Amino acid sequence: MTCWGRALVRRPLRGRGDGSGTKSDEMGLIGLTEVHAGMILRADVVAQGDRLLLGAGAELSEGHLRIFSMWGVTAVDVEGGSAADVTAKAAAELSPAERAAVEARMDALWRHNDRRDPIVAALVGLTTLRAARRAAGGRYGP
Amino acid sequence: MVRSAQALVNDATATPSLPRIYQRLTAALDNPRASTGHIADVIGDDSGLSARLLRLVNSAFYSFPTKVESIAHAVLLVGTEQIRDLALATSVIRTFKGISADLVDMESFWLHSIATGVTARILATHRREANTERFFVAGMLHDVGRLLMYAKLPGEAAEALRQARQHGGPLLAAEREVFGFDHSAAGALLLDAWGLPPGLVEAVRCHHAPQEARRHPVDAAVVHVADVIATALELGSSGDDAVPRLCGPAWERLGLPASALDAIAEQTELQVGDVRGSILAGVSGA
Repeated sequence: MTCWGRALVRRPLRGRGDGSGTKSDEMGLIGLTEVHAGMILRADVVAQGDRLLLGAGAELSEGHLRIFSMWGVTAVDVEGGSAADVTAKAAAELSPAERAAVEARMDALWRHNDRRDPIVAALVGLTTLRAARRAAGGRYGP
Repeated sequence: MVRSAQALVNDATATPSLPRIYQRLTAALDNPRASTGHIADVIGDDSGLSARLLRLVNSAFYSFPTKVESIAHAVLLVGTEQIRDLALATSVIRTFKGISADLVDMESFWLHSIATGVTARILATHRREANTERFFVAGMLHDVGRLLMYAKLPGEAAEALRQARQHGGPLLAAEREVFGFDHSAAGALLLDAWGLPPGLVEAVRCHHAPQEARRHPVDAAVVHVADVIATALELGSSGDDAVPRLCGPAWERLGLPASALDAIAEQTELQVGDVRGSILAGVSGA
């Protein structure tokens, strides 16, 4: 069975191992590809050398996202942006047939692994989200 | 059972040679009087390699803040041993030719290799390892044994693929059934015959059994986990359509929190497209 709403425990990102990302131990970090203008930052975004790019509470613009990308930031902490939220949104966009197709693909992809293993379960969560986005065919996401 | 992996490698017919650029750069690095300028000159003799390396150092793989305009600048920024590793990684694709498309989609094969290399380097960076380029090379080369088997024994390779697809089991197990050995053994022996470093050889030999690595267990664990992540992200395939079984102790050896996985996956996807364009540009059949 594919777990659609599984929350991943997250910690600050390390862009190229240089400490870029967001300064927060809270959950809710999501990848930059999932972030879009209008979202509210829950934690400061810092780049290499502890350079503050944008403070917590700011509303994100397209310009901010371009700057984050240029500085190698790969994920940020936004309000309502946990992995469970993102995955649930992706799942909600799918028809029952599309959901069944995603679940079948995940069953095939992970058939050599024990999905009760916490690391495998975390990876299954990541791949389920990606498969759901592909199945939605652009209907979901920014 | 066909024969031993060693016999497969020893049979010179159709056995690929180590890219000459690696030997030339190793000879230059072994010369204590060689300067970075000399290293750059050796690379500069190969215009295709120079272009690939410049594309790579100007990609998201490094994300340098300013554009790198020359190989000499790239050597200074990246390092001499590291640039040699990158030269090997970007040249090896051209050594495997003439493999039937019925056995393997070469573009998909190299995409999987690039993704595993990129992921291995990202894992190594999270661990603060030195010379992370060596992990990229190990990831790039981890499945070359499979190419050797496809090239030299295509009939047996087709049978292994058929068995794996029919029964839904790992291709690794089908290889052992049909050949009597698997691609990790064949690949390690090829790299050893090429004279590549023992850490690289062991990482390739143990990438499906990282617990068996004795001298370089971290290298083997990194490549193993990178292979799992790259396959999970469905970034190409070397023949198997399912994620290899994760070795829990290998993940634990990396000392990384599960919470790092999302960032690692994001970074991998961000970099793979760029690296693929840098390395595969102009390669036919890949």
